[in-house]
This record gives sequence, C-alpha cells and structure tokens, in this order.
Amino acid sequence: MKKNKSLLLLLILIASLLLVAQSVYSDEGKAEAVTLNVMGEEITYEKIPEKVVVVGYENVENMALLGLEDKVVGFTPCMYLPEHVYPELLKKMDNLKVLPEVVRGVPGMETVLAEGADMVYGQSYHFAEASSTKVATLKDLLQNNIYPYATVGSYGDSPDLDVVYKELENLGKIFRVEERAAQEIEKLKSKQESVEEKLKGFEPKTAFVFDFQDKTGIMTPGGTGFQNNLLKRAGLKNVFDNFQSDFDVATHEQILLANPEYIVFIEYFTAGEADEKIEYIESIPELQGVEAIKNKNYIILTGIEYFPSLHNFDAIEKMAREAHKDIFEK
Amino acid sequence: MEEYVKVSNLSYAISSKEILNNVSIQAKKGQFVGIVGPNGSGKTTLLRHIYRVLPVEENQIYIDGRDISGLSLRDSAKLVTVMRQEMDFAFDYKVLEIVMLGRSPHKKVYQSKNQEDFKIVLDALNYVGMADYKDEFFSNLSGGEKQRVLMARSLAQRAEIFILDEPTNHLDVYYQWHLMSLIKDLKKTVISVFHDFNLTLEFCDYVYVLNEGSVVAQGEPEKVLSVGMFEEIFRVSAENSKTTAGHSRVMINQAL
Amino acid sequence: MNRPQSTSSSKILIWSLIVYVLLAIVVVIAGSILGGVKIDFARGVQLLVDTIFRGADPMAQGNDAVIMINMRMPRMILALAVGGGLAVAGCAMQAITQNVLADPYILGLSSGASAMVAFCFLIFGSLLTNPLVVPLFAFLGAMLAMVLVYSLGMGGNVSGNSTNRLILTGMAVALILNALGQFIITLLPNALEKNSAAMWMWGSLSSARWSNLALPVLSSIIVTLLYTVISDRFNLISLGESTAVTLGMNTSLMRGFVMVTVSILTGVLISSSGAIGFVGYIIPHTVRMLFGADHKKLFPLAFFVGGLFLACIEVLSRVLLAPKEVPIGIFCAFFGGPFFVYLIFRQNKTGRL
Repeated sequence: MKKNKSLLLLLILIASLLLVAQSVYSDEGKAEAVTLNVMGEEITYEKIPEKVVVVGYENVENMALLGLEDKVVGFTPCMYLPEHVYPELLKKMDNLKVLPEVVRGVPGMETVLAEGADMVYGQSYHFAEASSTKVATLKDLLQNNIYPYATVGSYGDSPDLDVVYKELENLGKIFRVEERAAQEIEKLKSKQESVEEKLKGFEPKTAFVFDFQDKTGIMTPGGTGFQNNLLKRAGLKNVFDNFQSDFDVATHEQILLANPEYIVFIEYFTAGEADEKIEYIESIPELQGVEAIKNKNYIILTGIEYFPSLHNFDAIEKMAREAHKDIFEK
Repeated sequence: MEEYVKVSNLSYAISSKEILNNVSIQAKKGQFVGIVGPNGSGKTTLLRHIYRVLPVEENQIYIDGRDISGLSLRDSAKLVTVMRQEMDFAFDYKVLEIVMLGRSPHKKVYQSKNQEDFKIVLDALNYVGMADYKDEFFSNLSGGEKQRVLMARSLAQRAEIFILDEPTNHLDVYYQWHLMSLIKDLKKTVISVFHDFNLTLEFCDYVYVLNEGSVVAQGEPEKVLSVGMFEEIFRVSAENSKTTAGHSRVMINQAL
Repeated sequence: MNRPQSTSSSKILIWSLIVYVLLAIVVVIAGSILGGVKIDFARGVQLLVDTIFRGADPMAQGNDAVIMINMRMPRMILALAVGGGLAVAGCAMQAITQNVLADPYILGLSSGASAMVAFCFLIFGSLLTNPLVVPLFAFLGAMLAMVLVYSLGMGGNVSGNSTNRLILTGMAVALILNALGQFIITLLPNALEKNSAAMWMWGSLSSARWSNLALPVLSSIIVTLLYTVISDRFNLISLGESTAVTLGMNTSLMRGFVMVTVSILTGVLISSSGAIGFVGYIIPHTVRMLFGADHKKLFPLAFFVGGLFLACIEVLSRVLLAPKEVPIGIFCAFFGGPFFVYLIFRQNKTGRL
C-alpha cells in the first residue's frame, strides 16, 4: 500500500511539474514564427508587430476588438466613415493618427516608411501590383522588412461569412492573442446563430444591390463574391447571382427583367450617399415598375456592413428584419 | 563616242494605263539632251526611272555600260544627280546643311564630314553665287535662291550626270536662263525636260520628242522643232525664226 | 574657315553635356529630398553623402533614407531615361514621316500596350502580385502593334506614297487596338480593375526601383548614341523620300530600321512607366526651335532636354498636391495643350508650323 501511494504522489508531482513547465513556456511569449498564406504568398511573421499601418475602419475595428489598438501607428479610413464604426470601438481609436492619403482613402509607401511601420494591414487590392489604390506591393514591403497582411475576405473563391472568424483567428496568431480572439469569435458565432435560427425555413425574398453607379448601368455583386453569401444568409436571393464574377455591372434592362422585391443601397464615403442613390434610381422612368421601387422596399447598408467586418452579422439581422418583417414581428 | 546613258525599251503602266511604251533614248558623255512633249507624254516618268525613284528592271537602263538595276542606290547617286523643284521642307535647315547633304552618297553611315567635304561644299556655293548665304535658313530664301542652293547640292554630289526634272518652271525668266547656262557651263551629261522651246533650242545638243508614251522624233533641236511638230504634237501654230543676234527661236501664234 | 560647322557643333554638344550632367545631378537630388513625406534638407544631403561616398546601406540609416534613396532617387533617374528616350524617339519619328506632328506613338505602340495590359487584367484579375507580368504584357502589346504596322505598312513605292502609307497604317492599327483595349476594359467585371487598367496607361514612374532601372536607362542611352552616329541619314530622309533616294539612301531599309528600334525603345519605356504622352512631341519641336534641325545636335540635345523636363514634372507631380500623387501623364497633358495653342500663334505670325 505504501508503494502505491508513493507512486501516485510521484505521478502527481511529475504531472504538476509538466503542467507548470508547459504554462511557463506558453506564457513566455517566446514567439515562434507564425506562417500564413497571404494572397498566395507564404508570409512568416517572425516577431510580433509593434507598429501597424491599418487601411480601412473595419480593420482598425478588428484591432481594437482584440485590444491591439496600441499597436496601430496610424490608419486611413479607406471607403468608410467613422459614423459607421461601433461607438465603443471608435472610442478606442481616439488617440490614433489618421495618415495622409496618396490616393483616395489609402496611404502611400513613403508614409508607411516614415511612420517606421513593421506591418501593413489592408485589403488585397491595397497590395496588388497594378492596382490604382495600391499602398505598396508585397515585394516592396518584404524588402523593407515590413509584414503585409490582407483581409481574408478580400480575395479567394466565393468567400463566406466564416472569413470574419478566420480574420480574427489570423490576427490572434500574428499578435499572439489567440485566446482573446477565440473569445470574440465565440461571441460572434452565437450572434450569427441566433439570427439565422429565426430565419430557418422561410422563403428568401429577391433583392438587388445598388453598389454604385457606373457608365453603363449599376455595379452590383455577382454570384461568386462575399456579398452574395451575405445576402443569402439574410434570407435574400441576389437577383444577379448568375453573374460569374464577384462584381459586375447590371444594365437597367436587366434590373427591370429581374424585378427584385427589395433593393439594398450602400453608403460609403459620404453621409447621405444612400439617399442620393435612391433618388437616382427612382428617377429612371423605365424602372418605375420594378416591385422594390413601387413599394419603396429599400434597405440601407453602410460600406462596413457590406464588406467583411465585425458588422456583417448586424447587417444580416438588419436586412432580415426589413425583408421578413412578418417573421420578426411575431 | 559611246552612249554614256542608255535607256532601252522602257515600258511602264499603272493599272492597265500605259505611260511609257518601249521608250529608248541615249545621251553621250558631256551631251546636253532635252526631252520635250505635251503633258501626259511620260517625260517625268521617264526621268524618274533614270534617277530610280521608280524601280528599274534588268536591261532597261545603262550608265557607262553598267546596268543600273544591279547598282545600289548609293552607287547610282554617285553617278546621277537630280535637280527638281523642292521648295518646302518640313524642317528648317541652313543652306550649308542642305548642300552638305549632297556629300551623303560618298560617306559611309557612320562617317562624319571632313575638311574635303567642306571645301567641295563651299566651292559649289561659290559657283552658284550663294556662298554669303551659307548660314541662312533655307526657308527664308526666295525661289531663285533656293534653286541655286539645290544646284549647289547637286554640284557637291560630284556626279557626272545631271537630270533636270523641271526645276525652273516656277522661276522668273532671269533664273530660268541663268541657271540653265550655269549648268551648261559645267559640261556634264545633262538630261532635261523642257516646256519652253527657246530654252531647248539654246541649250540642247540633242532632243527627243515624246508623245503618249512613245518617242515620236529625235535629233538636233533646230531640225526637230519645226512647224509640223508644233502643229501635230504640241497643237500650237508657231514659226521658227532668228533673233538679230543670230539665235534660233520659236514664235507662237496661238493654240489650235 | 574650313571647319566652322563641325567645331561649333561639337562645342555645343560638349557644353550641353556638361550642363546636362550638372542639372541632372541637381534635379535628382532635389527630387529625392522633396516629396509627400518631408525630409530636412541638411539631413537629406547627409544621407546622400553617407550612401554614395561611404557605401552606407540606406536601410540601415532609417526610413527617411529608404524613402529618399530607394524610392525617390530611382524615380528621378527613370524620369531622365524615359523623358530622354521618348524625346529621341519623337525626333526619329518626325524625321521618318517628314511631319512635325508625329510622336513615338503614331504607329500604334501605346494602343497595343494598353490593349495587352487590359487583356492582362482580364486574365489575371487585379490581384497580381508578380511585378513582371504587367510590364511584360505592355511590351508584348507594343511589339504586336509594330509587327502589324510593319507587315501592312512597309510597301508602297517611293514617289510620295510610302510615308503616307506608313502613317495611315499606323493610325489604323492604333485605332483598332485602342478600340480592342477599350472593349476589353468593358469586359472587366470589377470597377477596380477597370480603373486600374485605365490609370496604368496614364503613366507613372512610381514603380521605379534600383532593380528595374537598367533596361530603360541603357535602352535610351544606346538608342540616342546610335541615332546620333547615323544622324546624317535622318537629315536626309527628313527632306522627303524621293530626295533621299536621289541622294543614294535605301529609304525602305531606313524606315524599317527606325521603326523597329523606335518600337523596341518605346516598348521598353512604356512597360516601365506606362504611356507618357506629349514629351515625344513637344521636346523635339522645342529643341529644333532653339538649336536647329541638324540631327547630329538634335538627338543628344533632345535626350538632355527631354530627360530634365520629365524629371522636373515628376517632382512637381509629387510636390504640388502632396501627399497625393497625380499621374505624370496627366501633368504632361497640361503642358501639351498650351503648347499646341502656342504653335497656332506661331503659325499665324510666321506662316510656318
């Protein structure tokens, strides 16, 4: 009996030693390099970035949510307005520097260098070689020892809502705040679940998204992009989900034929932009007969709600409430 | 003397319209040959073949016994120079630069001008009396002055054969006679187109008459340019005569 | 008295080379220090001295050094090369066509490049990360235009119509490829891609880095030297095809040679900086007015003046609306318009263009 007791004690001792050792090691923050695939390139984040240039309010929000706002050395709003940001997160951004723009909404490489940044966080087209809204190319950044990171939802095949979770997960990995990230992901997931629960089993309504006006028609999401999935989850069928691209132009004729029940208007750079878009579409004589316009079934989304961000689930709820008033008023 | 320039059975047509029909002419070395004929007779086209702006086939044109179709354009340019009406150039060159271009056939692509070239150019300008204008812009000169410069360019080319493609038609009577006598004094082989019978009589040693693409007469000017020729070919009523100083001239009555 | 012309020619060239080198140095330094992000002048000079004379690595000296030396300096050098190269190409095209309205793009090179760049966006989307792809497509597009114009436009006999034929063929190819490019742009599904394709062609020197300077710089210099050596031929052909033939030149060989070399040079320049217009047209004209039409002086002087001109515009484009950057081609257009107006005045006064 004594032998067994000592053996047990020994085992417990070893186990606790191991546990302590393991926690000591993981708390050390001895950052092992994290490797992520960014836009097809394998980027290794050897050190935890300290000075991040962030492009776009939605990305600054992500940083603030994870308590990383101190690491943001400066940002530009991209195509969003501060009014679109969650107030409690906006507060955290009070002390953050707004950087000068080289092209609308976007800072230049010189600014990135001048700020002594060690990471740039933006969307894919902020890093593409020939993009007109380029901040800097991946090559340029890597040559200057600056880590690039592009929002997961801004590239790839038919991204769905889980890109928002992936985004937080990636940020968690890069900044070694995996636990905090996991917590926030859980909160978001339950939000998503509760909204989608209510929509179970109901027929989707048809909708057309008025992104912005183009020369030959109106820019709208096609079937292969994030926005298409956003609508689906809100119980709306994108009338142009047959378009084989993430965005394309719909002509007035096509809109008339599709006869959507709802129209979603997006507001980006300026307040009141959505109202202008409504005025515009109502002024087109040939579209007067479209059901959404006849009944003024309009839904307004902010740009931040429309692109991958923390707001997507609120957006889904907003759209769902409008389109399925009957369900929600029960 | 052998023929120095020989054109042999030259024919030319543009989209089934015949312009030259088996034309043969010759010029001896040092001879001043005139080509006359009404408009559309093919005179200019004939000359263009000789100075190679129009392509030439084998056995058509010989210079000093050599078939020019086998010569490079550069070598032809050492033998033949052309004076035409060139009044407007796209760019403003100076007189000296224009005449210097006459040395091109003698320089390789990468060679630049040397002392000898300058001497030749200045001599040419002196001969035509334009040496004082060497730094003037070509475009600022009068018609007669321009033509003298172009003649200097031809002289600088040091070619034996001078082709004159109506270079003085637009100039006043002084220049028409003065330039022609300058050329005559060079004692080079000249083939020239004329509209003016009197110039032909004064300067040519030999004349060819072209009509509708064929040679209809040839010989010494006084013999060829006669009343029958005037009426039949040139459709004017005219008479031969002599001036008090003894020069043969033609007097025109009227168009027929 | 025997060699007045050549000595004064050589004198002008030597003096202008000296002046050019001095001005070029000034402009490059100024352009490196000035820009959106402010750099103190003294610090800028210090950094330059350290990098050039002591071989210090800009990346070790701080981010302002990186901006100045790794980003702005290459842009200035590219400006000198592109401005010079386009001016020289413009002179050559004007001589070949005997027309002062010609520029390097009249044979459709920029249309070909823009059509292929649009095509490149269509295939690869706008999320390209490989820096070589778009420039390669631009160059191929220019070569495509050259091949089309060469095969269709090189015939014709000399007495007057071969130059016209070349110009008309060039215009036709330019129009067709332009339309094709525009059509492809409308096929691009994404507004961003459409915008990027259009903006690329306006021209920008922002992609200049030390690693991609060699090709445009060497091409401009080599072609300028080459043309200067055979400058006599350009004088000849600029008098007209028939005249050139009577003075012994094989004009179709000359036309072909110039076409190919201008196309390759312009293709390289377009692929490094987009299609920057007006330089290839304004500079030859201006230099001719100031220094005369003799190509022996014209080519080198056009190279100098064109390079310095574009370098100054480059600095302006970064400083005027800092930190915003206006594409350099748009700035050049601002100069082009008034220049045309000035030409009209001149024609009214002197009767000549």
